[in-house]
Amino acid sequence: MKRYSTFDLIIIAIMAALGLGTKQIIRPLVSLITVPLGIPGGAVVGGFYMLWLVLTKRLAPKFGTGFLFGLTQALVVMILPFGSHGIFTLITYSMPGLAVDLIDLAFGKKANGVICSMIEGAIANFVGSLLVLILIFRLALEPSIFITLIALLTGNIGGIISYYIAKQLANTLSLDLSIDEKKKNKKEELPIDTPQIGQ
Amino acid sequence: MNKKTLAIILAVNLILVSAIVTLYFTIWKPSRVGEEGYLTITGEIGNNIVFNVTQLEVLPNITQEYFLQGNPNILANYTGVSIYYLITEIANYTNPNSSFKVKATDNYQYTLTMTQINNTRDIIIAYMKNGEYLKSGSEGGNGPLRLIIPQSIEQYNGQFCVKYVVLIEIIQGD
Repeated sequence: MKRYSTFDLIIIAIMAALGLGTKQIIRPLVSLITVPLGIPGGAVVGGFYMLWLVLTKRLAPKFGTGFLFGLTQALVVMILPFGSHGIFTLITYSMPGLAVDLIDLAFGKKANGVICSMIEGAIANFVGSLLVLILIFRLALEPSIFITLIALLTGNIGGIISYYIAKQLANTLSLDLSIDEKKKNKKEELPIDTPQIGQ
Repeated sequence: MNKKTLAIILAVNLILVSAIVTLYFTIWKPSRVGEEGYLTITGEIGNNIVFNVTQLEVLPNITQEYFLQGNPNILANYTGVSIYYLITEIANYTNPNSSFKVKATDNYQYTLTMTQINNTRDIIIAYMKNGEYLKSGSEGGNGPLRLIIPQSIEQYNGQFCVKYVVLIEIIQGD
């Protein structure tokens, strides 16, 4: 547990709770559009749900925070009466988190950019939807492709939104999330020019 | 956000939207009437309404214990959508003299009247039994969709709980 600060763990817990709570409100609202069109609501809602996962990654950018976010939600969902897929819940909830961790790792120092957030949201929702389709619904290939494309679309939009929320939070709460690279560079340069008092 | 990033985001989303719209009209939307895993509401309504299990799940559902008296007797918790809701809210059909044929892939069927479905909300198209998705016939199950009728409608209800449901046909009354 040394790796994660109290701030990281609080962020994971809050975001996991927000994700679960808002999902139950958003789902019926989204179904107003998806049901008449005959589009699966889960993949569309997933984009909104993955927003919280990407936001967790932006606010607590250590490796494994995405996985912990998913695992926390999976454990909660398994004891709740709704949305549980039994033991598969552990896989379908935690794997998108792990995917986001890996993407974050691949992007390295550029992980705080909007493109990274977009890809993270898209891939997380893609992985989540694909796992549910494979493990739970066992749909045919063609409808599965359609659903996963919707997941990619809504997921990347969720990722972009989370980037801007994180940016706003960073400005408001004066968090150093390296969202604005120029500002960060300026801060780093400051001590060089600042006169050293007392020497 | 610089112009290059914006262009990448727009291009990616444009490609995805184009692909989704194309697939919606070519793969997703075409009629799946009678196909296993899909519930079609047809008959005295303008266009057929087709649901898969995922779509049924987002509708208001009922989970309760049912006793299916038959051979064998089954006592289980079934989860599904009330036929009353499907007919009156989804299909928006309220003719009091109408009846509804619930049909299976093997052409087995059971007919319900508007009076019956109006008297109870507990006649459901179930997709879950004891928290697990109903398996299809090819997997040795009675699903993926099954009509569940409570004993208040038929004492020996087991035989009327149509397995492998794919269709609800609305028939206009006099």
